[in-house]
Amino acid sequence: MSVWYLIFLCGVLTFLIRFIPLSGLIKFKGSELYLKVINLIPIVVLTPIIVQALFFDRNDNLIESVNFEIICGFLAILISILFKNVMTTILLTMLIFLILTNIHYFNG
Amino acid sequence: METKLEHFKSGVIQELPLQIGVFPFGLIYGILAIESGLSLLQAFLMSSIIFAGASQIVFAQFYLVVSPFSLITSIISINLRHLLYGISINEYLKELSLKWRIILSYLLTDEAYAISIKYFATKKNKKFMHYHLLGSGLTLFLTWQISTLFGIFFGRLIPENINLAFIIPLSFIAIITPMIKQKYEIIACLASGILAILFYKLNFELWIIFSALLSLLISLPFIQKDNSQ
Repeated sequence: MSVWYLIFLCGVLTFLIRFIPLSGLIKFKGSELYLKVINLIPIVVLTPIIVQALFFDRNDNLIESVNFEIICGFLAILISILFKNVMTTILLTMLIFLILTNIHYFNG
Repeated sequence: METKLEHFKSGVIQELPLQIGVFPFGLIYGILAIESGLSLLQAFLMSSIIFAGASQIVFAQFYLVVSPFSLITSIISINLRHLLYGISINEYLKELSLKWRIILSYLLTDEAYAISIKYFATKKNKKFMHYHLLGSGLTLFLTWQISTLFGIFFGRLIPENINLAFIIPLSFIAIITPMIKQKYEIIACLASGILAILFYKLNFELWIIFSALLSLLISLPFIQKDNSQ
């Protein structure tokens, strides 16, 4: 399949996923159980992506020792619980991560 | 009562601080897209055709190595959270015309949703409120296009020791951590994380879907228990 077709298809599907709940075509008044399951989707979809970024190296091997990514990942969870703010979490953790990963430059 | 312009300006102003995090994300996408072999035009136009950060990065990383079906299912699974955004924001937008709902659906990203849903919940008068989402959505759209261009043309100038890609998992941590409050949510999160490690090597294009669906199944009894309490 051509790359352009794939891009357009993914674009249409992304738009449809966003549009369907707003279209008014489907009523989403489900049971409490249904709503709770739907609410879990961002958690169960984004967590594997986070795990992949923190626990696998560039060659897709599971890392065997604690690295700066893991330390900063847990730090981000703590900062997020404390500040409850997306930007603060990103900026503070990224700053610490950049300092840790470039500390040898500071030491000369 | 606020005018259309006042709602729009509020959306733009409240969305602006988030662009500090969005810009490097777009930059990374631009760099990855070019490195993966996409043409300049494909890399740039994908930012308006798909207009979804994580999906575009997954596309750029995997379009050459997995089947179109696997790529499409991965992108659908990544975007499924937008269904949830749509369901909750629909409460405030259901009186709008089809034209407006199409425009706002296109602009409904993580960051625009987070800013506007908070604003909608605090406003009693709903007239013209949708201009806030238009403002926040357009701000993000513009930043995304500009940062993509920067990534495409100037990405190579960024020193290699600055690992900006780490912003992506950090953003996801910052988004989902406040969502996890109940016991069944902790269980679902832990289960999907552990399952991701187990499935990652088996079939990398399906690890997100397998982990997500199985962890939903695992957490079902705990949700039912929570309901019965």
